Amino acid sequence: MKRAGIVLVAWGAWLGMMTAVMVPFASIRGPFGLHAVEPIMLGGAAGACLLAGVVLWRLESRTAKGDERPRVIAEESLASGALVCGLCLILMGAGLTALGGGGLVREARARKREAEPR
Amino acid sequence: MSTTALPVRAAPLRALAGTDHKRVARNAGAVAFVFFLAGGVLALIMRSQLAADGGVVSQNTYNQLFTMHGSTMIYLFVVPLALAAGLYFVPLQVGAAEVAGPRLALAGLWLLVAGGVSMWSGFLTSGGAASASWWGFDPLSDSIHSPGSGMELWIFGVMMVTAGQILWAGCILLTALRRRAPGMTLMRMPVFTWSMVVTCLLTVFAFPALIVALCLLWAQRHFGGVLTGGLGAVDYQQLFWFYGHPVVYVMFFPFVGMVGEIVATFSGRRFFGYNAFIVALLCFAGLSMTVWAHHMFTMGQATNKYFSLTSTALVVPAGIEYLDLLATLWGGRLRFTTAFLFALGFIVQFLVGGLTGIILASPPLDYGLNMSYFVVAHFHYTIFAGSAFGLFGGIYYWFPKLTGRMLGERLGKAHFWLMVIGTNLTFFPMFILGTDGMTRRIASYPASTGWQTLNVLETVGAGVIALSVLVFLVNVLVSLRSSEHAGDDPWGAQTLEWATSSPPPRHNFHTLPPIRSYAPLLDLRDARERAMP
Repeated sequence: MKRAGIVLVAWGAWLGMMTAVMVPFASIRGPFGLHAVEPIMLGGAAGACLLAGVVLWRLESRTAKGDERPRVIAEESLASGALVCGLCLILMGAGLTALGGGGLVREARARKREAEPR
Repeated sequence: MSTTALPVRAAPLRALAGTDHKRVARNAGAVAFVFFLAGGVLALIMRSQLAADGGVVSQNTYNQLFTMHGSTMIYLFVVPLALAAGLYFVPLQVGAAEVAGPRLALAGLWLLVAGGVSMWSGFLTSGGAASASWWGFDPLSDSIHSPGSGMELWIFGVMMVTAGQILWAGCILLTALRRRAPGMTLMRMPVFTWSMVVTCLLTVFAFPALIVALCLLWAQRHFGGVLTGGLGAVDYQQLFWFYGHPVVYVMFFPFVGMVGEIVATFSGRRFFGYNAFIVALLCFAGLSMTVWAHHMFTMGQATNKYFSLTSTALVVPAGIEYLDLLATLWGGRLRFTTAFLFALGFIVQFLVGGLTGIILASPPLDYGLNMSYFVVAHFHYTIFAGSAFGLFGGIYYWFPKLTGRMLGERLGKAHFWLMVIGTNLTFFPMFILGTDGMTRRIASYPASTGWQTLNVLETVGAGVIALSVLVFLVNVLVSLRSSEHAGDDPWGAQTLEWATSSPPPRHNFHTLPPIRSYAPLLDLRDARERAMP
């Protein structure tokens, strides 16, 4: 399929232009100046969109060179459910690990404080 | 491109782990609708509290109610339903046999279920559910002001749901861009598919900010120091609203697309100004990424002039879209079906929400109205009086395609009129209360304010909305039991999904008609008429 990437590239460029329009407002300042996080977020989204568009464009040009193999369609996927369960467990595990790690550091600091002569 | 299918397992397994995009979307829609009913019950309790001027629930419980009502309606109902509609109909509208990334789409469904259960399980904890509003601002949501595991469950739940929505959006976007049938060029994609393309662009490029914000919030709750230095809590708001405003448009664009399809079908005309509509949609979506800090005008920590300019500029693409919708109606042979009535309801009522948005886009006016019931009225007019009407229009329009059965017109019209009355009775008085100084999120108010009469009126309106939803559920049950088959194209529609059977087969199409415009079925009918002597 040709020209699919153009949607992403065009939209990314539009966001990039809106980021550029934002920057001069820093010089106006007025009561409230420009905050770095604002152009960083919008510019980041613009960049990511442009990049995705370019990748898609490259992908299209490769596929266009005669990929006519039949597409295999999956009827069901237990693995997807397992993936989500795993993700939930990872989130909980990561949370517990962070809490445990933080707690250990805190305990070590407290021990050090207690051991120091007053 | 030809397709081959892998062998099929037992039916119960297919129900849980089936990757057919239609099954995933139907299941997601059902899950979202259950959450809608649950969120609606919370709203009724809140309205009872305000009508009685306190005494029904405690202040802390009231905080949990509005937090979970907002969170449920946004994270678990409107956004998932909007994306589920895309997951079902985009492959059909572009003539694809399957959605791109069907396994990821299935994972998105289970993330929705897991996230929703996590958020709601907060009610089972000793401290209750999250109570820091649907945005979870720090320091309101930190471990001092929101202690207990309800807030933790909310953070994890929202993260999971959001991750699932990003997966869905990626699948839909790639389907529209890469899986189109031969002849289906970009500028022949139906209006609804284009509305889903821009919706998915917003989802993919704005929603990750919420996941980042929630990770920071979680770290702040447990370790502190993350949102306290520099601008601190304001940076959380910047990140949150970078997600939080585009999500409003994720709850709008799909329904504009649905209404566009409905208006064209029931006017018997081609969509007016198709090219301008698509360009306006893309510009509108881009602009909607640049307006987030208008939610922070009164904080003095955002570039107000820029965000006021972009927020006001939204009226230009919105005006083009409205013009196209109205011009499509102009001179058409109108058929006042229930779906069409809901589409008209969307057009009229969303206008109220949109016009009051212009007032809030002006910082001097926003300073006076921010945090008042005026804002509550504004967003309920956009999301409920607007998008929910578009959604019900879409349900009445596509129900025959989903199930092979027609929804009853008589009950449908009763549903529509009850919902119009209920919606305006509930939300219009909020404009008056807001300008009179009633602030949001209060569980009671002094009797001397004289606000009780209007609050009682709103509560009656909420009851009428609940009744209308009951009528809708009865209509669905009665229609599903009916033995009369709807046929493949009961409306004389224009787009490709109506060229296949109702409901569509596993691989969507046996044959495709020639695609020479965004309305291939209308082209066929026109060609047939021209060929007749």
